Amino acid sequence: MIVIFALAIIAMAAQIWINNLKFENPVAQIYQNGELLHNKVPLLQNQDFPLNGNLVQVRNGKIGITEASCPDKICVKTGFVNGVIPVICLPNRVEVRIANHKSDIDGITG
Amino acid sequence: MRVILFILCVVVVTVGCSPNIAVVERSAFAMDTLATIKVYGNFFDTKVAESAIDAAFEKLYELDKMLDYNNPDSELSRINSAAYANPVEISAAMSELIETGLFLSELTNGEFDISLGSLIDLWNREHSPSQNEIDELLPSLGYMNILVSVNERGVKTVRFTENSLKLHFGSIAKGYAIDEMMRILRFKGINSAIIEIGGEIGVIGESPRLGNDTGLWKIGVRDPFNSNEMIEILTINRGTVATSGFYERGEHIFEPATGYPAGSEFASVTIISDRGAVSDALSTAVFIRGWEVLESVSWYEEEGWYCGVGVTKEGEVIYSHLDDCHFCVGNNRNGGTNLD
Repeated sequence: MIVIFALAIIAMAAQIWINNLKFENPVAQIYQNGELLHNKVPLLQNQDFPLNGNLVQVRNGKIGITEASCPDKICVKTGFVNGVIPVICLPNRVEVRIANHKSDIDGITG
Repeated sequence: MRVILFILCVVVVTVGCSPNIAVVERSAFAMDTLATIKVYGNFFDTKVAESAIDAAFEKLYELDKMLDYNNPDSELSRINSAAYANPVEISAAMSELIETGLFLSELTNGEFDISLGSLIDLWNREHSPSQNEIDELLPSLGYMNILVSVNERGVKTVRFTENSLKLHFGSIAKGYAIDEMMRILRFKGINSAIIEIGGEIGVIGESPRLGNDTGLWKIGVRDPFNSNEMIEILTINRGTVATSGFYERGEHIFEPATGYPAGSEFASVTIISDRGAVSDALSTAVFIRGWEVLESVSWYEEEGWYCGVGVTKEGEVIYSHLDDCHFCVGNNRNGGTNLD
């Protein structure tokens, strides 16, 4: 009985720890043409991801598109993000989003 | 419009959701923008969610193809090139969209208008057309020049009474698509989901967001002056949300009365209502003419069937009918002005 109880406590603690881990280490996903090119990109580690037409960079806990071959460069102007707002380059069909952001927002209009 | 393409499927269990709730999420490029569907549930098998999402995206692709303004083979182009000479037979989906568009054009006294294709073409072609060119075109526009009837074979037809008139559904297509996709998801047994097409949103059931005991959905309104920020957060229990404005990515919004881009007092207008097509069209009409355009929509207003949030060009947030709205049960009211 005690063993089962102890195991249950450990399991709960592990679940909380895993959840915290998920939320404290934000990771991003990079898609192009619907294909998941990079999954679980850690934002705590500065990295570059050259894509066809875009350069995605991780800097200081945030991720953004810093170079784009498209004319409007809206994605570059969006800057670096680490929350609910994704970075999207429609002409090159690139989407960068945070998989486990802390925001309590379900969606964004506008 | 290019229909694309991909289907990606991400199944993430319990991340960002209440425990034991799974989310199946997919995105696709259609209607020149990004569309995302998230379906939530206690799935023993995610195939139910996946097949529902497949069916919803099929509908989106179908509408995208039907409404492709630049493809000469689309149903819309076929109508636009032939409906002045003779009545053109139309599909059931097209007939419903045209009739919804005509209803909303009438409801807003033509501030929202589905007949502006040639005007949009003129501005796209010339960037700064002359007053003469606009004056020549204006008299031939107007939703009242679009006639829907049924021919002797019992098929719905559309006819234009003006030669230069062309249908354009830029301010209603995404909202209408959300309505259709929500209908399909519900039909497929989905009871918690959110659909987003290029910044327009529809929700089904309750939000399973982690730490959310109410089941209500929180929808951020993007700051029109800083696309990385939200200027308002709305709490809704159901329905759809659409925003019109001069966002970087947004289409130009033209004023049917003058033929010029809307000289709006607003930087953006967000409308919440039970139907995506209504939210979409009303946000355009209010953006062009201000809240008073909805005075003619009194039956809607009195019953609390829509509410709205406007951001003025000075950055002031103005609310309309939030207190008696059936859909919006709260907002953070960033010190904005309440019109109620």
